[in-house]
Amino acid sequence: MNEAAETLYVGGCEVALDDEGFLVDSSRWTPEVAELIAARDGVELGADHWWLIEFVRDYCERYGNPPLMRVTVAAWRERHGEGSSRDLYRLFPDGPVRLACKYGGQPKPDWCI
Amino acid sequence: MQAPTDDNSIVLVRAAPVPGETARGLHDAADALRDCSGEVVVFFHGAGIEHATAAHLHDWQTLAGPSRLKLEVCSAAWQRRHTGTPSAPFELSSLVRFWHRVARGDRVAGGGLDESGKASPSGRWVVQIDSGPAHPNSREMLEMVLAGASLELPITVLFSGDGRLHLVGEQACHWRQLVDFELARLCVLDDGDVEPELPVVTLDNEALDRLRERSAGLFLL
Repeated sequence: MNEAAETLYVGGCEVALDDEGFLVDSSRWTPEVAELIAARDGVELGADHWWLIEFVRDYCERYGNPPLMRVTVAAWRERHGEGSSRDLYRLFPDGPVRLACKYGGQPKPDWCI
Repeated sequence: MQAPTDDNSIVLVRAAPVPGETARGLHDAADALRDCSGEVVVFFHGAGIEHATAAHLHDWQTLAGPSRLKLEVCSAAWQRRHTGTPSAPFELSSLVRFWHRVARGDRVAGGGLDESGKASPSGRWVVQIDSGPAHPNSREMLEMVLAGASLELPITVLFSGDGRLHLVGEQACHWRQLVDFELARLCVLDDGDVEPELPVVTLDNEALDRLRERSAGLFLL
């Protein structure tokens, strides 16, 4: 578990974040927490953001790691009938899967893929 | 990354150094420097990243004289075991860079290898998992495959020996993504005493020989 660097207050409860804004304790995640963490980054979560966050959360829960970009793009295409990684980077320009992990309460990806 | 030549080589080192013994990786790197005229990259992954620690620095510094030798350490494997960065001549790198080099046609030397020395450039890469589940090595073996799959390289994962234990219980959930999203083909060497919980192709020795003969190369993990 990462060290707490900051604290959010959500519904009167303390939620600890690490130095990059990821949840220290994934079990504290709620949609409200996601909105607050994203807002700190200047991001307002819309329907497509939420689809991506839920996709990444489900994948992490099922397989124990985040999805590859190619898997995420394939899932996006299945949803929209077309698309590419550009569509995902439009949602989260600083890294679609990484930010979906961050806002989705998942651990910071620590791999080099 | 150095411009590719026709004669580059890459050495994969995944075994931790054994105290009192000259590491096989050093031998493999020295052989690769002798046998090829281009860039030689030694890529340290898994427990092999321990070569990049102070205790073994001198051996590699001695070898690292030629500018065409690069000593690259998997950043994720390093950061799981150590803080900071490894000392020069070691540098942090990534599994994706490793596979980029493999994909551009670098000769795979040392612990990787098609033992017959033959390879089919248009064939599939075979990653043979022969060691059982152990933290964090299990995860790093899967990451090795996922990194290649991220570049859409054709990969077959062959489970043999204790490696077949990855196909049962909780471990199998992690490997299942390769099947569900068609990221790699999974095969198991028939031995009867492990019942895989994933849809895998069972190979007998004859089929195994064919797989190896037709492969682009084989990495034994």
